[in-house]
Amino acid sequence: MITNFILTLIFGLVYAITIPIVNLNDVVMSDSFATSITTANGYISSLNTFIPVDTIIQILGVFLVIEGAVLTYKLIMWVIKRIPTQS
Amino acid sequence: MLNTHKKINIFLILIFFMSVFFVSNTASALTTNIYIQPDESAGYSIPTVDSFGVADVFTIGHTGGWTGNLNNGFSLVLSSNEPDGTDVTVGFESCCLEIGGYFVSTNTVHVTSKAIYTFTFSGRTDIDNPYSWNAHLYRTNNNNDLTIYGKAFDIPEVMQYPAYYLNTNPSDTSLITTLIPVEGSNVNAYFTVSGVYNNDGTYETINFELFNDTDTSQPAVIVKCIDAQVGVNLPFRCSYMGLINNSYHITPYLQNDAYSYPFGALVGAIPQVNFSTNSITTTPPIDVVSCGSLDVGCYVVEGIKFLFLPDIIQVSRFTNLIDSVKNKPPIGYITGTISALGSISSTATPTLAFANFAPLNSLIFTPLKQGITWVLWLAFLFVLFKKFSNFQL
Repeated sequence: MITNFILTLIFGLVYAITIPIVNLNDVVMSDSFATSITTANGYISSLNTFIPVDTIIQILGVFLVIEGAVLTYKLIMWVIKRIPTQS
Repeated sequence: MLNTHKKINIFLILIFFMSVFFVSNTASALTTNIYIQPDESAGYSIPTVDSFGVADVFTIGHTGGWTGNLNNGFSLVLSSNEPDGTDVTVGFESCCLEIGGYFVSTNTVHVTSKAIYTFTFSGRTDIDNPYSWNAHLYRTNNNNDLTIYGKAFDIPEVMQYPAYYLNTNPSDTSLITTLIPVEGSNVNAYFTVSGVYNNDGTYETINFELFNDTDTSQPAVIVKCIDAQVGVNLPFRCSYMGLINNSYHITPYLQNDAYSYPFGALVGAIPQVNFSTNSITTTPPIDVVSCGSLDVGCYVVEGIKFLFLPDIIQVSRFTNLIDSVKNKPPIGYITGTISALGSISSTATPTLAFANFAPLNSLIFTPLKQGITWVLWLAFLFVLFKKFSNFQL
């Protein structure tokens, strides 16, 4: 009951923020973008003969996850610090 | 007198006709039979056929005569003479009621090891409208004989014309909602379905059959959702816990409780809903516990659960919101980019085709790649260490 109430409030807030976005049309990525990725994929695959592409992709993924987490934390703290009495 | 040349021609012609005769007899011997045997006691005549082969379509039908407010249908019992381990697919590829009503479903079953299966189709009539219907029986292989016994049935004495519908518009998120796996267990999951049901007629139950997509021969779960006699805009919501983690599709049907027959159908087909096996962060649903009358502790625990454990629907609203936002701008561009970048892998078709390095691979490139892999991971760990050793939030 209590948790539901809190979740409902949070959901209402988030929903209100996302209303302008929800009503927009879905993003359609350009064909040229997909083509560029596919083309790059072919060259990257060629390099796999000499260098470990999978390892690079894994490391890049982990790195982006860490950077994303740090950025999210900073964003949340930035919002919290906007609240009066919070320094 | 025939000269030698003519004798040879006649001999060849004889050989040709003998070959044709042999081949045709062989083909005939390979033709399998399906026998449709009517159940005369049911009062419906079903034609008897034989030589029912692959790609043949046999129409079982009934025209006229059924009037009044009946729920009726047709069932077939199928027995197979297939040898053990042989699959035979026999099913109805289409069926319809030409005037009013429709069949609940079509079935395709795999007959294995002389199993006996029963097809049951049912529909409903319009009041005083005679109608005809037909079903097309087919099979997909041609091994051994099959015997099918048909039997029609009626479910009379429906007191009132049953009017019902289930709004299945998938874009209406207030209705068919979620099939959500439960976090914390990759074997247990549940589905919840809700909607509005109109029924001004007889006792009926909405049932939902969940078919495991890896075994579509029979429903994995039949969920009895609502049991009501009269209801207009009657909301319903039903759940089933304990699904095995898998991919499912869901099919609804109505059941006349008075006669235990599935009948009629829900107007508008519910689209197949795939059960997502991706875990989400949520709380397991609250189990319904029956406390003893003097079990105070149980009541306290249940009270705390009631107060603090969130409803799974509340949590699912967030995931639904994420689904509705993730493809919208500007987030959609990030989603699309991540999705595209995720397709990059070393297994793609190389643009540059290098010469065959096989002799060099084992000697040079494979050890080199292993060494580079180690260097990359060590460098990454070093960068990570440097980053967090001077980390300031």
